[in-house]
Amino acid sequence: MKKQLSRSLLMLSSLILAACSSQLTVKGQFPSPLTTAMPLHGAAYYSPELISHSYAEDDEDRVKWNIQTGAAQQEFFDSLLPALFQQWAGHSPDPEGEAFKLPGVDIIVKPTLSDFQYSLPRETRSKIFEVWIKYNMQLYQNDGQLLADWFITAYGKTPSGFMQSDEAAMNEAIIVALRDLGANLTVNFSRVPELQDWMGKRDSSVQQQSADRGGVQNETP
Amino acid sequence: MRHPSYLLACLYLLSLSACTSVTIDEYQRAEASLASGDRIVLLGRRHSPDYETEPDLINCVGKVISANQSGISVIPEKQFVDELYPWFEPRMAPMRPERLEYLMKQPQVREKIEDLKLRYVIWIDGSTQQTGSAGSVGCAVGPGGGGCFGFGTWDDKSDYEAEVWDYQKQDLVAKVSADAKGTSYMPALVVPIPLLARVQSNACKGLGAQLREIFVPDSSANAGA
Repeated sequence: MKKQLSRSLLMLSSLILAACSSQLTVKGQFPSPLTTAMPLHGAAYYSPELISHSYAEDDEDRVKWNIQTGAAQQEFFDSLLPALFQQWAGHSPDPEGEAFKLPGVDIIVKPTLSDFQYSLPRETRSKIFEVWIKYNMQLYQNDGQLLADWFITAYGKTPSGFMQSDEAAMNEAIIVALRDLGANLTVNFSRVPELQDWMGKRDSSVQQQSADRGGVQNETP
Repeated sequence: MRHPSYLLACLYLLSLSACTSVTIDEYQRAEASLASGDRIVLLGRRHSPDYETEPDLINCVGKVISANQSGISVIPEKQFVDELYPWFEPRMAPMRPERLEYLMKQPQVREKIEDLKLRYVIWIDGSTQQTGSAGSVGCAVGPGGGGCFGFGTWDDKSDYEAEVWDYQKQDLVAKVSADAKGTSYMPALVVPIPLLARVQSNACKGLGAQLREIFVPDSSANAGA
């Protein structure tokens, strides 16, 4: 009798715990941006941490969310990054790896999720789910040398809808945040000062080389 | 004999709906005309931190504008925003018609907009909020059955403003605002009977009909005839 009672209590408490937790694997579709591609050959490196990223809430006072974002992040960057470059080489090995070389490619982009935060309607007393994400963007040259390193933030929100689950609303807020990140990157990627300097030096060195070649040809009798 | 009258009373109560008042204001600055094949798009403003213009309101207004064979072709919001990504995302969306000129400087954006045969952009800003509530309804279940008892009431308010922009002239054509208010009631005597004020729906109908008038004058009279 005691055993049955404790088993029932255990089942009841696990049911209550399950009711207070949310499991979400973020899913969404991301359009490719309409933009002028940079005259570069690009590639991307996604670290294992990014591909398998999940957020588990550990605050005792909050609802226990477990949010898997890795696949959605990869899908997002795979839609966005190729549109920013005139040529795209796809996925690259780790540019920080030993003896890294990727001949023919100019730039390797490495995005790293450095912060993920959210707020729920019951916390803000509004009917809105909000998400903030922060990325560390790094650009490497084809010999593994770090070219640029900067942070970029994005924000997404969605209202809690009638008959819409919390999971669906949170998923939508994360998708909106990733789309916001895409908007920011589309406009500002070509304005990264280190990238602009590097491209300027590269262009002038190409011009110098062709001028030298022209000079040599002119001197030839 | 008691049951049929009880059922009839329930059906009568269900057929009732609470009242809503709608006020529409319009300011038109220029004539709007659509040539054959020209299309319009309705977009919701999503930049405010406190609210979002509901996508279902945008769909509803679009349906009202294109209803009754008005001949107005509306590009679905999601299709437009996706095809022009990221230029109409909340961070990037133009806030004034003059900013359309900047967009037209982007060759891919200009080409895409021309492919879509876009002539007018209609921005809708606002939301429907619950402004107050009173009363309570309690429900209980026992071995002999269950039921709800009590009385609840709540007020909803819709406040929307639409701006019509001419894409070709990059100018404001008209502004239409719709304010709607209504009180919903929920009496519960064993079974709760919601008497809902269709505030957002009525704001949508009023706003849509007035916007349709801008493109097809006298369309409401024709629709009613």
